[in-house]
Amino acid sequence: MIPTKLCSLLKIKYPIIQGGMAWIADAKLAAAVSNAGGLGLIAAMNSNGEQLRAEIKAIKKLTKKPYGVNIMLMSPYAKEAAQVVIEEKVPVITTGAGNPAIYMKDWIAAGIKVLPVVASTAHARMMAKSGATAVIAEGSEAGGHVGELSTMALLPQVVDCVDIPVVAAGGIADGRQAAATFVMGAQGLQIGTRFLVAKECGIHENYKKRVLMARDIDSIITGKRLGHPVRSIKSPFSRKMFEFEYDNTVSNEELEKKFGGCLRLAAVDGDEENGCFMAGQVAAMVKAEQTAAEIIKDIMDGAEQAIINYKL
Amino acid sequence: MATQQKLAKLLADSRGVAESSITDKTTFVDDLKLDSLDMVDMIMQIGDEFGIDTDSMDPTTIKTVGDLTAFIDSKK
Ligand SMILES: Cc1cc2nc3c(=O)[nH]c(=O)nc-3n(C[C@H](O)[C@H](O)[C@H](O)COP(=O)(O)O)c2cc1C
Repeated sequence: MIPTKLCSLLKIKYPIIQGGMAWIADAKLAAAVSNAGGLGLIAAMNSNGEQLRAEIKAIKKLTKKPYGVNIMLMSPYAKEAAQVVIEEKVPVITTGAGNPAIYMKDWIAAGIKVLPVVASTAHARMMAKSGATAVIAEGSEAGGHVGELSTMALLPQVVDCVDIPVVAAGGIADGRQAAATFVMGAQGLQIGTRFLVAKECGIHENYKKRVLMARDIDSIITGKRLGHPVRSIKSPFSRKMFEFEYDNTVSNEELEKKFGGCLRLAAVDGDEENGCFMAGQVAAMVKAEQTAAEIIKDIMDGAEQAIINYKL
Repeated sequence: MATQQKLAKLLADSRGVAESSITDKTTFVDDLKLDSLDMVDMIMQIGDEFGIDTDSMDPTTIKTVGDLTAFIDSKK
């Protein structure tokens, strides 16, 4: 077993965090991950304050282990969510898509451990200075909203610039990739794409099928023109969006409208025509639907084996 | 003035723009095309280079080189 500082800080057995995923990461998936010894996250992105509270109450019934909530700072409900997590005494918060500086003081005062997702070294330093427990360095291999730097380039730079633990995210689907991030100095991993096909993940079966069928060359980034690039699996929708992006007769407003609700259409309705099946570059490595516990065991055993097998 | 000169040199060096093109009216978003990550980077860099606490620096109110110069001077 590979014990890391992150495990003792978060009181978890394995240094694996299941990424918060809007419309996807609910109490059931998060509880399965936490019960398996990782840290499960509920995504607050698409919920208002009361919906989030209901999900938190649900996870408290499903697990006695630590869990967390992911707050997307660009969500219209971010402020409500920021308050609800304090009232509900959520042990861990991760944040995405922005700078949580305005909320950090209150969260830390409430005893919450805060792990912001960072896309640059300056962002990581700023978060460490604001009292973050750890930072999550997410590279552009990841599914969903992405930055410019890859995990390979970003992770060691972030490790070098802060004294707090760094969690690697983006492009990790098996034990070899996990071992590589540990070698680069990561104290933990955050995984999204592989958990999409967890048995406890309630997304539409068409979504799971898209992930399981994905080939290595099926990954695409759309939305760059609007300033929020998103990585997904090539689909009729994403190919169309890619075209629109380079079509200057389509205004930004129209483009924004076309993107609206596309993840929900994929995750909830399984709409193969209009849904955006967000997933990372490693989707093609995900070959089987497994329980969260099996996924965690496979990655951790694989990481250990990769380190044992390593020889020059 | 010393602050603004140092700031202009810093921006010129790290952003690859001509130092002479930077005035107190130069805006970060429209003129220098800095995005949100650039702004975070600049805040941390200003803290390092000028030895000041930048915790209260709010990029929504500090929009120009002139604004930032005044902020730095107020912290010294
Ligand atoms: C479908 C999907 C939705 C996501 N939604 C969010 C989100 O709401 N908030 C967030 O911080 N990260 C989100 N992410 C990123 C994940 O939390 C995680 O960092 C990422 O998936 C890790 O990279 P991987 O996909 O290569 O495993 C999302 C990722 C996916 C695949």
